[in-house]
Amino acid sequence: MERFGKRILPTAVAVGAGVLTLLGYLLPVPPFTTVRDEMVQWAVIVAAFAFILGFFNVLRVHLGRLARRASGWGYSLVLILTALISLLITAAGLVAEPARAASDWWFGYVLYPLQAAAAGLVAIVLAFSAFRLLRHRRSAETLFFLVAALVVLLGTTPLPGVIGERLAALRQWWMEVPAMAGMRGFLIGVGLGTLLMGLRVITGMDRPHSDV
Amino acid sequence: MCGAMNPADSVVCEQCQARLVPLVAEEAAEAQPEVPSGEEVSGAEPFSEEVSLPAEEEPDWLTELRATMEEAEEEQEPPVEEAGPVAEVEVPDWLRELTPSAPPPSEEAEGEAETEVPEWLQESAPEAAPPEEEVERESEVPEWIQEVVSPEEEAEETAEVPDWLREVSPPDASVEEEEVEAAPPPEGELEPPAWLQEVSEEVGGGPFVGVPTEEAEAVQPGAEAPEWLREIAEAVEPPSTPPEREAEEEVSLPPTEEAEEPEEAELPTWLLQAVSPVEAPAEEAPTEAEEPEVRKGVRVFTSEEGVPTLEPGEVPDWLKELAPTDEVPLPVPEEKGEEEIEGLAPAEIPDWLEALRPREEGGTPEEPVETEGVLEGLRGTLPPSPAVEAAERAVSIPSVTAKPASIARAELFQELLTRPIISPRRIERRRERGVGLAIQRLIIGLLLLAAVLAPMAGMWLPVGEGGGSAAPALLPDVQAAYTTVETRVHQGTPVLVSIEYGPSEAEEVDLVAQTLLRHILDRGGRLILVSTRPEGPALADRLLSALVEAADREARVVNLGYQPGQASGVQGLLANLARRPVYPAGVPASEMPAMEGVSSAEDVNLVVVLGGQDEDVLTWIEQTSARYPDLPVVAGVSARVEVSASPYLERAGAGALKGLVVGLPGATVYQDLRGEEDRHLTYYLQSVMWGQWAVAALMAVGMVVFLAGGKGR
Repeated sequence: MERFGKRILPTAVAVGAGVLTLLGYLLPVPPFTTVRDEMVQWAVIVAAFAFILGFFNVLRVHLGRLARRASGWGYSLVLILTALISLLITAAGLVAEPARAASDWWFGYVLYPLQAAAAGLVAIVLAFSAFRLLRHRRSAETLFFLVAALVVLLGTTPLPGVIGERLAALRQWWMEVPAMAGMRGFLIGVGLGTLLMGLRVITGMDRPHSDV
Repeated sequence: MCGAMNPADSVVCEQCQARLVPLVAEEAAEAQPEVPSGEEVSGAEPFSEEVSLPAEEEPDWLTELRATMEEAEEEQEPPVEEAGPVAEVEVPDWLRELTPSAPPPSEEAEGEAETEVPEWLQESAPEAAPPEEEVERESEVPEWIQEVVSPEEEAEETAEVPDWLREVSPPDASVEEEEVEAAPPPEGELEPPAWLQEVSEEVGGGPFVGVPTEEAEAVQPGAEAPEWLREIAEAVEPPSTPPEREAEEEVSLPPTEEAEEPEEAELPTWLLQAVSPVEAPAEEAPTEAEEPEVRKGVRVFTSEEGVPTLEPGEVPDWLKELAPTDEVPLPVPEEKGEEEIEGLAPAEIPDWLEALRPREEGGTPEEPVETEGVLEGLRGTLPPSPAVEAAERAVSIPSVTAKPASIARAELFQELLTRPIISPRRIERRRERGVGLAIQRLIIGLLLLAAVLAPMAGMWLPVGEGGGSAAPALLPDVQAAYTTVETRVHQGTPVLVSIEYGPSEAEEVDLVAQTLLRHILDRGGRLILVSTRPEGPALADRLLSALVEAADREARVVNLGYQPGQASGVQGLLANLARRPVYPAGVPASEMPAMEGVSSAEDVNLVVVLGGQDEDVLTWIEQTSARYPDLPVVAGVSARVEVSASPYLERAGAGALKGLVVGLPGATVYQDLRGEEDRHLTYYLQSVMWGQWAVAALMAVGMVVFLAGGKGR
C-alpha cells in the first residue's frame, strides 16, 4: 500500500497528465485541446498553492530561528514583520478601496526603492570583481573575458567620432556572431534537456514527484 | 485304511478298526456323561468314547498293554492319569496320528483346570500358545496386560533398546521375572519317567510331548501329584510372583473355545499350545541350530528324533489350523544391527536419559585428555576457546605496500598535526589584507557614485544624435519593433502586454516600456496587461498611471494581475484572457470595456513583452510563438537580456520575435525614430554612460596592475 501511494499512484497521475497534455499539442483538435487546456488550468492552480505554501514555509523557517535565538535572529525578526505587514496591507488594499492608497504607498516607497538599491549594489560588486579578476585567476581565458567585456561596454556607450564607430561595429559583430552562437547552443541544449526530461517523466523513468 | 465296506452307522472300520467318522464336538459332548470318575480313570479305561472299545472287540495288543500298565502301576505307583495316554499310544496308525491330540477333556476336568491348574503349567501354557490364539487373547485382555504377558514382545522391546540404555536402566523386577520364565527348566525334570519312556519306545517312538496329560491337570497338586511332577512344579515355579503376574496368568488361561470350535475342543488348550510350534514346520524341518531344543519349559522333539513327517493330505484340518502361519524366531539382542537401533524414534528416549548416553572414547577429538594437574586423565574439562580455533583457521592478510605518494601525504598530515598554532603575526597580516580590500571596495564605490552623479554636475558626455555611436548597431531591431507597432496597432486594437520585471530592473525597463506603450496608446490601441511575477501588477499600475488618464483608463487599459505557473500559466492565460479577474477589483475581465471582443490571445493583434530577466522573456516568446505562430511579438528588455533574446529575432532567422528594444540606448533610438525627445531618458542615459566608462576604466587598471606586478593566487 505504501508502494502504491508513494510510487505507483504519483507516477500514474504524472504519466497520464503528461500524455493527455501532449496529445493536445500533437493533435490540436477537440477533445484533445479541451483536455489540454483544462490540464493547464489545473497546473496553474497547483502552482498558485505552491506559491502560498512557499510563503508560509519562509515564515516557519525564520520563526524557528527566532525561537532558537540562532545567529542573525534579528534579521529573521525583521523579515517576519515585513512579510506580515506586506501581507496585511496588500490584502487590505485588495479587499477595501480605502486601503488601496496604503498599499500603493507601501509598494512605491518601501519595496520599490529597496529592490532598486539591491540592484545598484550588484553593479558595485560586479565592478569590484572585474577589477580584481586577474589577481585571482591569471590566465588567457580570464584575459580574453576581460577584453570582451571592455569591447561591449565601450561599444554600447554612445561615443562620437571614429573610435565610437569602430567600437560599435566591433560590439555588433561580437554580439551577433560569437555571443549569439554560444547563446543558441545553450538554448538548444536547454531545449533538448527539457524534452528528454519530459519524455522520461512521461514514460515513468524519472519520478521527481515520488519519494522512492 | 483297509478300504473294506462298513455299515453306514459304523464309527470304526470292522476290518482294520480305523475310525470312519471324524471327531466332532457333539460326540465329545455326548461322551461327557460317560467320562469315568477319578477312580474309573485310574483303570485302563480310555478318556473318551472314541478310544474306548468294548471288551470283546479289544485287540490283543491292547489287552497286553493294559496288563503291562497294571504291573507298572503296582511297581511304581505311577499316576493313574498317565496310563490312559500310554495305552492309547498302542492303538493303530490312525490312533497314532491322534496321539498328539489327546482326547478332549470333560467339562468337569476343564472346570478344574481353570481353577486348579498348577502354576508351572499356567506359565508354560501362554508361552507356547500359537499366534492365532494370542491374537484372540489380545482382543479380550487389556493392553497393559498383553504387554506384560507377551514374552516375545518383551523380548523385542528388550532387543530394540540399545545396550547402553539397557545398562543405564535400573534393574526391573519384571525383567528378573522374565528371565526366570525364559530360563529352561532342567531337562531331567521335564523328561517323562522311565516307565513312560519305555512305553513310548514300545509304541514306536511316535511323537511325544513331555508334558502331563489332562488328567494331571485335574489332579490336585500336592498330595495327589507324583513326586516327579511335584519336582517339576517346584523347579518351574518362580520364587515370588507378583500379583499382576498372577492375574495375567489367570486371564491368559484358555477360554471356553471348545464349544465354538469342535476340532480344537478335542485337545486341551495347553496341549495345543505346546504342539503347534512343533507341528507348524512339519513340511520344512528346521535344523537343530534354528530350532531350540527346549523352549519355554516344554521339551520338543524334532523330526530327527523320530517325529513322523506327515503328508499334506494326511494332515487333519484341525492340525492345519493350529499350525503357525509364520515362525517367529526368538529375538537375539546381541545380533541386532545398528539399523534397528537407529530406527528408534528419538521421542522414545527422554532427555534426562539422553543426557546419560555414554560417549565412546576417542569419538570427540576436539576434547583432549588432560595430561597434568588435578584434572589429569579427564577429557573435555577445559575445551579450547573458539577464538583460538578461529585464529588458527584465519587466512593471513596479504601485506600491503604503501606507495610513496601515500607516505608523502601521511608525512604532510603528520607535519600539519605537529605544526604549532597560527602565530599572532599572521593574524595581523590578514587584518591588513581585509582593510586593503575594504579600502578598494570603498574607492570603487565612490568612483561609480561619482560617475552616476556626474550628469547632475553638468558633465555631459558627447552622445550625438540618434543614440550616438551605438545607434547603428541597435537600429535594425528597434526599427523592426517600431514598424511592427505601426502596422499592427490601430484604433481600438487590443494589445497584450506582459510586465515581466520587478523594482530592481524597473529604473531601466520602465523607460523602455513607457516608450513602447506610449507609442501603442498614441496609435489608439487597448492595453491588456498581465504579469507572471507577483510584483508585476503593482508595477503595471504604477506605469499606467503615468501614461493613461484616469478617465480613459477603463476604456483603454485593463490589468489582469498576476498569473502563476510560469510556462503553464502563460499557456492558460493565452487561451483564456476573458475568464481572468481584473486587478485589483476582482471583477471579471469580460465585463471591462478594454476587453471587448477579446477572449484569448488569438483576438489580439500584438504581444509586447517587457522584461528584465531572461527566463520570463523567453517563456513568453516561446509560448506565444508556439501556440500562435502568426501573432507578432515585440520585446522591450533590459540590456542584460539582449544576449538571450537576440537568437529569437526574425532578423536572426528565428521568426518568433519581430523587434527588440534593448535598454536605454534602444529606447533612445526608438524615441529618435518617433521624433520625440524625453529629457528624463537623456539624463538616465548620461548616467549610464558615465558608469560604463568608470567600470571600463577600473577593468583596464586592474588588468595592468595585476598583469604587470601583482601576484596571482
